[in-house]
Amino acid sequence: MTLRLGSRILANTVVWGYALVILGPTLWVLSNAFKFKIDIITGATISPFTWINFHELLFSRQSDFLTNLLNSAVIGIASTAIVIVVATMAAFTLTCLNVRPWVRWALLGWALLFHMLPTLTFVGSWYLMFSSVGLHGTYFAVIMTHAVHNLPMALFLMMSFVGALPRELIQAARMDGCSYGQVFWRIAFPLVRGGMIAATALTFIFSWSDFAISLTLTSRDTMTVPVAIATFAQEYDIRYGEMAAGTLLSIVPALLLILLGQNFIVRGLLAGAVK
Amino acid sequence: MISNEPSYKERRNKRWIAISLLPAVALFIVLTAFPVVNLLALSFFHVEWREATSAFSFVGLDNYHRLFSTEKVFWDGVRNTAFFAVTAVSCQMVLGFSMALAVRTAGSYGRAMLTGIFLLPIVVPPIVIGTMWRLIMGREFGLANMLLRLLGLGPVDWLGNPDIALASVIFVDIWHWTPFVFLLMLAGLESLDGEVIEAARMDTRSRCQQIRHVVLPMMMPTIIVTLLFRVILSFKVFDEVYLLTSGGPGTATEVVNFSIYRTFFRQDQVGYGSAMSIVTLFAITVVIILARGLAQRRAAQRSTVS
Amino acid sequence: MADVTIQGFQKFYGSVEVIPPLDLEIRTGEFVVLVGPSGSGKSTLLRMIAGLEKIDAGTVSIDGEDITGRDPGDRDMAMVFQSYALYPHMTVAENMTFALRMRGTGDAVIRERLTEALRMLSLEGYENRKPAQLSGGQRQRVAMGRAIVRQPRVFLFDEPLSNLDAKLRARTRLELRELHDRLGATSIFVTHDQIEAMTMADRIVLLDHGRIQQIGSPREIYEEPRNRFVASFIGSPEINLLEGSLHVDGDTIIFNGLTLPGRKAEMPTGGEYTLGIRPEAFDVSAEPLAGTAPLAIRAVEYTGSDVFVFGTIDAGPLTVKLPAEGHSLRDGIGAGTIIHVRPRAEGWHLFDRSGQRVVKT
Repeated sequence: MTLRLGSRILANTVVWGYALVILGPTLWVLSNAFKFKIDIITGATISPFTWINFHELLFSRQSDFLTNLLNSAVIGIASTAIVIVVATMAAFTLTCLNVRPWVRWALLGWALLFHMLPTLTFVGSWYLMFSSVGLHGTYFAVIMTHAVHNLPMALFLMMSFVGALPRELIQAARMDGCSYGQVFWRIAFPLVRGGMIAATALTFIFSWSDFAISLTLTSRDTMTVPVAIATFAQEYDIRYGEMAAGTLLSIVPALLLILLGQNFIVRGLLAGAVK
Repeated sequence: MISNEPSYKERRNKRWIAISLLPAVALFIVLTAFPVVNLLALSFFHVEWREATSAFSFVGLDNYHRLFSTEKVFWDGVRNTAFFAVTAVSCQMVLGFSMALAVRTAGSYGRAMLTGIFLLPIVVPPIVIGTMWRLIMGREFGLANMLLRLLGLGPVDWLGNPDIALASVIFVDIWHWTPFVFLLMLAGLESLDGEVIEAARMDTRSRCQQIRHVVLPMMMPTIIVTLLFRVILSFKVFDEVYLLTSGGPGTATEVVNFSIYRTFFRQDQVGYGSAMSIVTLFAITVVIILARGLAQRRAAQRSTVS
Repeated sequence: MADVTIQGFQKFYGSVEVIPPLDLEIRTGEFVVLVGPSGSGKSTLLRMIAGLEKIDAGTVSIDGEDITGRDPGDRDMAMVFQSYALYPHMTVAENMTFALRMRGTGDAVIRERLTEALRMLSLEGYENRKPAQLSGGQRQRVAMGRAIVRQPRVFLFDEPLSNLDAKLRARTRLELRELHDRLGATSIFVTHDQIEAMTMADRIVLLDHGRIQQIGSPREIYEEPRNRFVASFIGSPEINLLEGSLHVDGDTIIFNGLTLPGRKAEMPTGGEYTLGIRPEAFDVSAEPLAGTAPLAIRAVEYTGSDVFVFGTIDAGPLTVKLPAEGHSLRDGIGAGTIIHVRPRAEGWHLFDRSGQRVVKT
């Protein structure tokens, strides 16, 4: 009994210790958002509270951060919408219908491969492609590349949700006279709505977090939040307070996701690993 | 008797299959397959930018020749990336699996909150993690050196010292991804057949025996898949390195992706950068195919035994 | 009205032939049960008829009309699935009327048929519930209702009772058969449960490895099994099968030292055979009589209505059901005691080396 209690305490110490290692630095950095620059530099632990950094970040003339937030939102929402529609339809067809084996194999194999290959090997080519047709720096370029970048994960995730539908349900609908399209709209779609919400949330987070694509394909007008934060960090005179404030604002979607739906995140991240 | 003509419905079904797959296929072809072809073509050219227009001159295999003979930075990057992947992932695996075992066998308090905290590094933008650690590891005002000062130790140049910089980057990656491994391992442990574990508890004399002879073999597929997955994804590393060190000092933290980025976007050597990309794509594809083969062979062995 | 004719059905998974060429004729209004062990192809066969599985070769027609290539929804067949396959997001009424709505049937007709089916299945008052709010038995009835409202030419059942508990299953079996008799529609019913097959079928089609082993009424199948497989698949406890050699000397038939009463036509004169005797086809006595063999008892099972004795005679191991008049014996017997058994004259079968029954009664 004492041994059990002992190992229980040890286990909790280890795991909560790690949790502290995650939270501690994060909170330290984020706390800078509410400090004056002088307190940040001197490393004062107790310091007066201020909103000045947020005010500077969002409303100062020199700052584009509000635009960056808007850009991230527009790109995130648009690319997620495309990804979810495309992935859900393809997932249904690949999972429930008789697709020629080689089509299935090629599509899924390529999706898996692309999912694992470094994004950086593609951005150079994307840059050239979009530049040559005059689309570099447009929303369109970023939205479409974000969409294709997140498509494999969404596809695998939606396939796991659609695959969980009983096969007999699809067959029953076929017996009841549904064509493939009708099976999708009337049976599969209403039943995987929960899965679509999960995939939507994850896809949006990934689009919102993306750095490599946005760094190379956005212009000043379409720059997203991560690129803006990176710019902050690389300035010669780092504005720590505003940077922390920007960081804090940029993790809001992630925090919402954790609060609202932590259960499906692991599943989503595992998509591709289990295939 | 004449066999049935394909009915109206059958044609409609065929059309549905085509329509539902078309967008995905189109996206993949235009934005992934075509770029690879494009890269391959460009890798045989030297591209020069003159007054916002580009001039192409065919150079055959010159770019590849240069990559395999005189290039140094890229190969430093390859070595660093491989070292980075192996070290970081092994630490993540050991740490993550141990913590998962501890939680699984001993139980823990506040499961939901714990999961929430562990998810934080995974869903936060990687650039934020880079920013965070750049601040923490800052030479003057970083948290790390502040804490050291409290202990009376001198400031360490975490990111500027060529001997330490790679270790620092690896540390950040471990910090970043151990929670992910932990959560996967925990999910794996919890999906093991409870009755088999109970039987093992009846049959073994210590928890060590139980883990060594029952839990570990049963977890092997999950471990291997997670390991391979993490190693392959480690080759994607870019965001944190970009922010923490930009590959420096010197080539101390150079990684493959950063070499490609620099060649393309800072040195404007499009043809040469394409050759780099093609070599990287090819090498990683081979690794992925080998890894999948390995994982599938393990799975096959397992299924024949059970 | 609704004859179903299957000609040369074939199905391959890759290069594996799961259904070898198969012909089957089902008559209007008939209740046919496809039965066989798992992997026998019975479900595949049903799904091929339904149009849910691709037919690699052969044709299926209803009343002479070829429907082989037709969409599952255009065959005028309704199916009740093992898992019931109720649409979880629809109410009972929506589930039951879905197929009619897909066909654009008029509202008045839909309402009339729904009311009728709900009444028939005692589901009145449940029409606005979702499947999740129903018991297993109720879900099963909704699944039946979904088929009934369509008034199809053919009903297909894919083990629809296997998810019910034993008591409910026995009751539903009876109700389903009554329903069939009332509606008079052709029914094809798949099960692995021989009791379901025996109790419900007009004709049983016994399948193994995609091949039809025997087609016949439950009585024919039980009493005149065409081969070893049929004999051992139907009947519980299983039929006794003894390997050995046969000697026929005039009117006396000896199998491994066991005397078999009754002379059958076309009797072979000797050789290696398998003897099949059902457990209930024995006379039993406490004392040795003419033609009896001593049975050394290993175990006795008392099930309430029946007593089964497991033991060994010289010819091999044997399961014997004590006949009603032998019940007086039951208090005196147990493991280690001996009783005397004798096969009844019409209760035995001989199978040759290939498993075919050789003696016709």
